[in-house]
Amino acid sequence: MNCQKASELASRQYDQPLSLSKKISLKFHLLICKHCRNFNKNIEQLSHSMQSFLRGDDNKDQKTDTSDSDDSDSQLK
Amino acid sequence: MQSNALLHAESSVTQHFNDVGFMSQLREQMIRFTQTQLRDAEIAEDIVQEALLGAVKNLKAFAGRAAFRSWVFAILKNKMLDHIRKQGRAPATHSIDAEEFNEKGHWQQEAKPMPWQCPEAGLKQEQFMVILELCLNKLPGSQAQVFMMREFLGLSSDEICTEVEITESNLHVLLYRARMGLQKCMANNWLHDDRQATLQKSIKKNLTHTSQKNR
Ligand SMILES: [Zn+2]
Repeated sequence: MNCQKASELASRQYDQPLSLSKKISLKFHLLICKHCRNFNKNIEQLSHSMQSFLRGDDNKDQKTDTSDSDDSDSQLK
Repeated sequence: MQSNALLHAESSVTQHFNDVGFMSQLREQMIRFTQTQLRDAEIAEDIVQEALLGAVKNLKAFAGRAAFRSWVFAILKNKMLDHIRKQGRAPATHSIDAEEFNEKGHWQQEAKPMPWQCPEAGLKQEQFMVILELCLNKLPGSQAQVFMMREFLGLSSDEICTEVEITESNLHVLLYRARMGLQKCMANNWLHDDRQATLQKSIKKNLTHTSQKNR
């Protein structure tokens, strides 16, 4: 798979489910190609930001990978 | 208790509506969004007006501007959907002309996607949307239209194909081109050294000539 094909699939995955074989070859290409990885990240962020704009969350925490542990800005004395 | 909340909501809305700068900016933004879908400026303005009025009528406790804006945009979204469903419109289709790639399908040097540097720099949602809008305006109309249908209105591929009467593969090409153009444009606008200055400049430019997408 070359970059052109990979970027097309990267875009398409946000609109329809990819077949397993396409998914695998895309994943593999993304592992080895930084540019396509950037592309994929950028278009994911596009979509993500539109969604959070619509939801009205105005803060920038794109990642919710911090599980429900305590807030970092807790005001302990 | 309840009347208190209502009172609060009311005063909060009044406050937003009294802020002329905020309201006119919001209105402008809404109109530009609407125009990606409906090229008729008059209809776009009508729809935005309706959405704003709807927001006034359905008083709600808005925690702040972001909440208010998202509420107004939610109404706008429904109005646009109504309108699109009443009269579908076929955009011109584009073939894949991938100037970003060489004959082997590798990225051309200047087309290589660059990572956006938003995370800890904390580019706010609002700023992101301003730049996104600028970039949307640079896209060919049909690309902007289907992109907004997909990402903003949240229609499925099938729905979009039906609404605008294009084939699925046409749709994928349009969305692909749209995303390609947007991610490039966004990267260019974010990677500047003096981001704030760039942003201010672009806002001004955008406000002075709102609709210049004749290409
Ligand atoms: Zn690649």
